[in-house]
Amino acid sequence: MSTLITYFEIAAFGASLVAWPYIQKSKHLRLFPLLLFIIVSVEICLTFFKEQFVFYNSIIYNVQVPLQHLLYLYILYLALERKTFRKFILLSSAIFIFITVITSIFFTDGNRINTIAYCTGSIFIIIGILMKFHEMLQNPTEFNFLKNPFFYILFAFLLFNVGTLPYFTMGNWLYYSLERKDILIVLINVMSIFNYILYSTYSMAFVWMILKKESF
Amino acid sequence: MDDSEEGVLLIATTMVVLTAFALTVLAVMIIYRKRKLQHAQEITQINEKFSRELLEAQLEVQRQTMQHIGREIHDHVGQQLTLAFLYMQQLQPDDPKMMDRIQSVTTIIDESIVDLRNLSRSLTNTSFLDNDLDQLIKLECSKVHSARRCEVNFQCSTSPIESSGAVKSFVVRILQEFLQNSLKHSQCKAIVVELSSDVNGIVLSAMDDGKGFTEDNRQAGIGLANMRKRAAMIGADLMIESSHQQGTRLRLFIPSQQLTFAHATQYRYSG
Repeated sequence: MSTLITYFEIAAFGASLVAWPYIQKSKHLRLFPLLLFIIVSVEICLTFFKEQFVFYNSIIYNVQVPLQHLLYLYILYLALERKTFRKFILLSSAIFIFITVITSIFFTDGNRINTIAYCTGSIFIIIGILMKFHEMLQNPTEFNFLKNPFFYILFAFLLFNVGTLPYFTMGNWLYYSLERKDILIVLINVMSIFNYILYSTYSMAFVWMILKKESF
Repeated sequence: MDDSEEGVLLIATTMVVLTAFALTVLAVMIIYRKRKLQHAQEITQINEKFSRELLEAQLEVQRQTMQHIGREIHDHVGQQLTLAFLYMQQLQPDDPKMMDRIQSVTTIIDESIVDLRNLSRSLTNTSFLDNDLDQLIKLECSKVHSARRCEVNFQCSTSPIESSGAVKSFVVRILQEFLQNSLKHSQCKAIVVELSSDVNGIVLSAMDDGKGFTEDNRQAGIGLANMRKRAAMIGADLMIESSHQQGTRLRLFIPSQQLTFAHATQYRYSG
């Protein structure tokens, strides 16, 4: 079931490329093809070339996930308008880089996932998304966030982050220490559903932008 | 239940709780937006109501002030001038030259009394607003036409329209401003005024064949701003178009629901 995620990611990446003429003028939206490219590249390697990359699985994720989180934080930084919120994102990014480097060097085994970095990044992103939602709510008469594809992109990512945070936080224990693999499969399936929701929403949001035929 | 199962249960529970949190955020955002929109709408309605009440009060004060001035002119200044006129007539000087001068002064006083009476009547008698809107517009057009500076053609394709005093007064003021501007600045030879109506409302159109204006050569003044302000006050849409040597066009649309604006407190000008 989790193999399907890669196809959903490829679809989202493809949609973002098709939507490029409409998102290229937006400072934050134009970073999505790059973000999805990073995700898709890693997932293609780990899905279709499993044998060659199986030993580097954790290492690849320990590089890709912080990079992905940093890119999400940068997208939020560009999307936010209030200076205080932007400063918070800058500070969060600095703290996140510091924590990722320190935990990668001193607290993470080579073949384990850096869960501390993942959690820190996720929490900062969740706060960032909530701050953007706060901004979106300020002028409901002038700006209808329900008709803005970016709102759904953010909401899907919020849902994914909060939904999978406990799963990834306990990732090392689940993958390497838990003996009941049958229970783990249930959680993997739940996590997969969150992934489907996330990338389907991305794809639909970009298709929406294409159909609307207006720059964002 | 062993430790592994409890651990997984904890993770699953936390995932459910956090997912519920995300969905709650969405629900709160939608509800908050709905309430804020409702609140904004209420404020707009209150502001509109306040503006209308303010306008009604302004019109009422203006009417009363004009009537007061009119009565003062008639009862006080008019009476004194009449008295002066009578005294002057009673004078019988021996000198014929003096007699001529007295006659001249008497004539001036007499003319002044007539002028003052007319002024007093025009200030106190606002019953002209009891006429229908089309009649008022026709009257305005006739006034300008009779001045012989320009030919004014009025075309009405509507039956008598029921409208409030405020709407009548404002529409006439807007048209007066347009006609005055055309006469003063456009060097026009003809003005066409049209009044039409449908279920949505009424449309007053006016068009001159003058030299027109552009934003660059438009003369600074408050006339156009006043017209727009008046239109906004009765909830009408005003459009003024002009281009060099192409004349000027005015289009005033008053929605049906605005026509009886202030109708409940319609002014009793005649009383």
